[in-house]
Order: sequence, then structure tokens, then C-alpha cells
Amino acid sequence: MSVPVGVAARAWGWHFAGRRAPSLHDLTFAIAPGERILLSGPSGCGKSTLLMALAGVLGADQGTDAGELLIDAAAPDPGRRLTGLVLQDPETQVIMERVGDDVAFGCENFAVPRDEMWRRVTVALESVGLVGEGLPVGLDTPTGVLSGGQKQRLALAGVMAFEPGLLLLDEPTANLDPQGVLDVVAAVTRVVNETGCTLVVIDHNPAPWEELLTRVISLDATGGLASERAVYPRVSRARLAPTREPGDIVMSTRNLVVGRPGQPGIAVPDLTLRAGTITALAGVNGSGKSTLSLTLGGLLSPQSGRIIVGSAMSQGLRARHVPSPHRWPAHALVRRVGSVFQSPENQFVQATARAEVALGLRVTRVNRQVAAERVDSRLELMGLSGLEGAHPFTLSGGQKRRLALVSATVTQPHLVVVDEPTFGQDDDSWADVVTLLDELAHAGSAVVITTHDPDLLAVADEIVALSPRVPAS
Amino acid sequence: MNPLAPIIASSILGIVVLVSFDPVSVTVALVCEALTLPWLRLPGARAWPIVGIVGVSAALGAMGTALYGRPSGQTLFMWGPIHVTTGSLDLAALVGLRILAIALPGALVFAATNLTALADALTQIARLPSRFVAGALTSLRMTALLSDDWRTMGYARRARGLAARGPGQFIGQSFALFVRAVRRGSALATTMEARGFGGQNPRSWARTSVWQLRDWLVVAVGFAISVLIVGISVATGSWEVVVFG
Repeated sequence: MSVPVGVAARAWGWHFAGRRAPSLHDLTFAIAPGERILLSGPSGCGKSTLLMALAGVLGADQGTDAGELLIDAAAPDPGRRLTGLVLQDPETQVIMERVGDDVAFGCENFAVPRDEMWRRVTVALESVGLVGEGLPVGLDTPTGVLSGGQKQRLALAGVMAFEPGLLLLDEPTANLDPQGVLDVVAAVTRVVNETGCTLVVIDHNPAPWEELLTRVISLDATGGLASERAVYPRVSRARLAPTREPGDIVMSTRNLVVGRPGQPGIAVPDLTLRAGTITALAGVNGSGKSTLSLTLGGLLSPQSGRIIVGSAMSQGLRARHVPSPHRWPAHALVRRVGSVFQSPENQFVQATARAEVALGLRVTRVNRQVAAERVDSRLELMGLSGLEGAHPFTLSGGQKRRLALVSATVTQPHLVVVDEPTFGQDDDSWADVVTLLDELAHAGSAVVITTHDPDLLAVADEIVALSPRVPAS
Repeated sequence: MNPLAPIIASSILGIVVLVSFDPVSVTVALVCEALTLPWLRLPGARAWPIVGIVGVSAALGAMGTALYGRPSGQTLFMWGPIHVTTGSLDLAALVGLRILAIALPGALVFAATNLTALADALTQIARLPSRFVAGALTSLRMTALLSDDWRTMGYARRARGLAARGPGQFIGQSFALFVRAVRRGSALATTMEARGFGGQNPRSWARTSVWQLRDWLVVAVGFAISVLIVGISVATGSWEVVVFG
């Protein structure tokens, strides 16, 4: 069984090589064995860095530390088998081809004898609810077929199998649909209660964890300890947009069937997207929300059905191209449609945050002076001032998403399509994102969002429910 | 069957066919391969496409030789640089068959190999360093994700107004793909390191890789086929080795 371990930080700090200021500084705190801690703080304040340090995977080549950080009275080191780390992105946590082998991987590295190893693998998979009576997953199931939520539980089983005394979770639910979130939280609750291990979790949405947690440690925006836990009220719809007025139809669809090349099509309900409104596409993972977003955004050709483009957006396009946004030239598309992908990293094409935002204005030849002012005001609105020179990939998860959102919408396109805009946002940046979406709608864009976030659904003027994959007839 | 056994057997065979350059040895090789490759028990749905791809490459190689190969014997057809002779046709047939005989076993054996089992065999039987083998194994698994990445990046460049088609886009996108692969690789490396991989501790294995009598037999069959090829070819007086240059 795992023995819970404690943490002690004494004036600890971390300075990434090449950054002007330290990411974390003067952290002094103690976590007793068996405590269950929420690590909170504004987006980009260094929460993930602290978790990586606790896991012992921040290398000396990445930066320098100050003070002292101790786990069970010695420096963090993954080789001590004291810490288990689960990260945000399910894709980067699957190591092996088969479920059983993946969970066994950690045990192999710690030289657990084979019979004991397979016993632990089975126990771990059962306690995260992935393998058991009546469940479709087995030890030989290929890891590639698992959903995001299943992969996160697989990663949890993979660390619990070597019985660490401190479980570290970095936004384990950030990329999941609501059912996936509940499954992961239930799995963590079960393993923490069964083993008694210490827990440190980061989650922008702590509500599902509240029963499990015993205490909050908050960081402030500079990477120091915050004296109190800051509470940011979420913006209510009433405060935001009492006066949004639906305008002309920007785009509508008839009998649309969407699908990626070589994959089965998904029939989607007819849409009418009007200027000045926010339309939310809701539905579980696999219901075609992202595929529909790509199609509306002119990036994917529909498998069948019609797209009808409003007259304002049609102007300047060749008549025969109008009903096929995926045939519009790129420079014409960027003026008319702003697409924000679910993984913001997928859409960054420039080396600095500033260039990323300025790109749309550059390719549409907006006056340089005007462009510079607009870029500055948008960066400020999104709380990204001071990060203009940073490489987009080095930003935090929430910052990346906000940067993706401003850079895709800086041209004030007729249609804005945003896939999961509030993934990874804390309450403060959540409000920034919603404010920008509302501003875009007020300025005359038709805004389409896909979301699982009930608070964001409340901001929408219309909600379109997509159902899980039904073969197109 | 240990995954190393068919790899060793097909390697021995491959070297012999690679060195030889006569119609008899390549024919014997193909006949023996046709008799032994079904032992891999690769499902037809996976095997036939591979056979098809190798077949098409062999046909293309043969066609090139037929049209442009060194002319000899009687001229059959001539048009510009194209010069088909009886000699170049013979050579073309030989080249096509050689491509089949060399590529088929390798491609089919690789397709039939479970990568995890191969990694187990490489570390436990061939005693290669586990860090190296596990690193290679995970990176192979990652390559499957690259084609999705490529498509997504194409969407991104177009969405951002950059998608002028041409070499510039290709180079830019290739570089971006490289950056992504490195980033995903380092994230995966963090996951692996956090689970104790790469430490100084001794390691255990979830599955034992065993080398049994039948694995020796598989290697022996590969060796026997190689001897048979050379034997028949020499006995019929047609044995020739490939001349480089």
C-alpha cells in the first residue's frame, strides 16, 4: 500500500531560463500527509510549474530554483516512487499500445515483480472504473480507441499502480465533456479514499472536487502565495447583453451532413446564424460539434447538404464560390470567418503573441497604425499585455486559448466560430472570454460556439443540440 | 513465436536475394516465400494491401528498366530516350521479381509484428538498452498521429489567411509539424519520466520474452531457404552476384 507523504516549501522559487522574472517566488507552505489540496490562482501564475517541480520533472537545464522544496524530507525525484503525476492532455499520457501494458509501464520502471505487477494493474484499473464486470475495456484493449475521459483514468491507473504517496493532478478534466469530468473525479475520489494518499489538484473548475478537498493553496499573479483565496464572480447573462439585437442572416444550412475525409458523415440540424447573436452547439464528445465548426468555418467541405451565405458576407466573392466556403481563397476567408480550434496550439502560425494577433490585419492589408492600436487594445482586453513578445507555445493553457480567440477575431469577421472557448479558463479569464464574444456579437458578428459549459450556454441566444453519431441516411 | 525470429529469418533471406542477381535464385526465393509467409498468420485484410503496394512498386521498377534499361539483344521498340530490347525486358522481369522477393518478407513480417512484443524481445533477448528501445517504441506509436497533425495545420494556415499553395507553405508546414512532434515528444517524455522511466533503478518486465525451440526452427528455415537458393542456382549454373557500379 502507498504511504501518504507530506510536502514542505521554504522560500522556494523557480526561474525559467530566458524569462525576465521568476515564475514562482518565496513560496513557504506545508502539506501534511493525507491532505487533499486544491492549488488555485489566476491563469498563467505558475501552478503547473509548481506541480512539475513536486513531481521532480523540472530539469536543471530548464531553469534555476531558490530556497528548498521537500517531499518526505528530501528533494523531489521521480525515481523515489513517491509521486504520481497526471497532466491535462490525454494524448500525451498514453505510452503503450495496450491498456494493461500502459498501466504496467510504471511498475516495470520500479522493478515490481511480474505477478505482483499484474495484480496491481488489475486493481488500479478496477478502482478507476475502467476495467471490471460489464465494462467494455480489458487489459488487451488498444489504448488508441479510448475516449479522452477514459485515457485520463488510464493515466490515473498508470500512476496508482506503483503506489505513490502523493498524487499530483494538473487540470485532469480540462479537455473532457461533463460525463468524462464526473468519471475522472469519481475515480480520483475512490483511489484517494482507498489509499489515503496526499492529493494536490489544479482545476479551473473546482466545483466537482469540493467534497474531496480539505484545503486551498492560492498563488497570486506574480507566482507568490496569495494571502486569501480570490473569488471571481462569473458574469451573468443579464449583466452582459441585455440589448443584443438579432440582425441579418449571415449563414444558414439545410440538410447538412458533415464529416472528415474518410469518416462516416454526421447529419446536423439546420442552422440559422444571425448577425449580433451567439449560437451555442451543445452535445457530448463525438456528436460532431468540432467537425461542424470546421465546416462552417470553410475549412472542411460538407459531405452533403447546402450552406447559404448571407448577402453581406457574399460581397466580393465569385458567385459560384459563394455556397462553398471551403473554396474561398484564404485571404477572403480570413476577412469573413474567424475560426478558433479546440486545441489553440493547432492554430498558432507565428513566433510571438503580437505577430499572431497582427497576422489577420496584415494579410487583409489594414493600415499599420490602425492595426497596431487594435492589436494592443485586444491584447489588453484579454489580459495578455506584457506577453507580446512571448512565443505562443510558452503561454499557459488559458492564455493560449485567449490568444487564439483574439487573433482569429481581430479582423471583425462576419462569422466567428469558436470551439470550446472556456476550456482551461479560471473565473476571471472566463469573464474576459465571454466579454469578447459578447463584444463581437454587438459589433455585428454572428458568433457560433461549441461548449459543455452550462454557464456559457446561459450566455447564448440560441442553443442547438447535436445528438451522438447517427449514420446519415 | 518470438517476434525476433521471423525478423532474423527474413533478414538472412533478404541479404542472399540482395546479393544474388539471376533468375533462378529469385524464382526459388519467391516460391519458398509463398510457402512460408502464410505462417505469419497475418489476416488477409491486412496482408493483401501490403502485397498490392509491393506489387505496384515492383511493376514500376520493372517498367523503368524495360523502357530505359541498358539495351542488349534485339530492339523491339524505340522512341526518343525509350529503347526496349529483349535484353532490357529480361532485365526488367528480374528487377521486378527481385523487388518482390526482397520487400515482401520484410513488409509482411513487420506488419505481423506486435511492437510491444518486439520491444520486449529487443530488451530481454537482444539485450539492447531499455531506454533506447522504449523511446523508439513510443516514438513509433506517435508517428500515427502525424498525419492528423498535418491536416489540422493545413486548416490552421488557411483559417489564418496563409494558405497560398506552393513550396513555401510546404516548407513552413513541415517545420511546424516538426516543432509539434518535438513538443508532443517532450510532453510524453515528461509523462514517462514521472512514472520512473530512465532512472537508475533496475527494471522488471510485464511480459517475458522467451526464445524457444520453434524460434530456432524459424531461423533455421530462413537459413535453409537461403542455402537452397544458392544451391539450386549454383547447381544449374546460373548463379550470379550483383555487380555494383
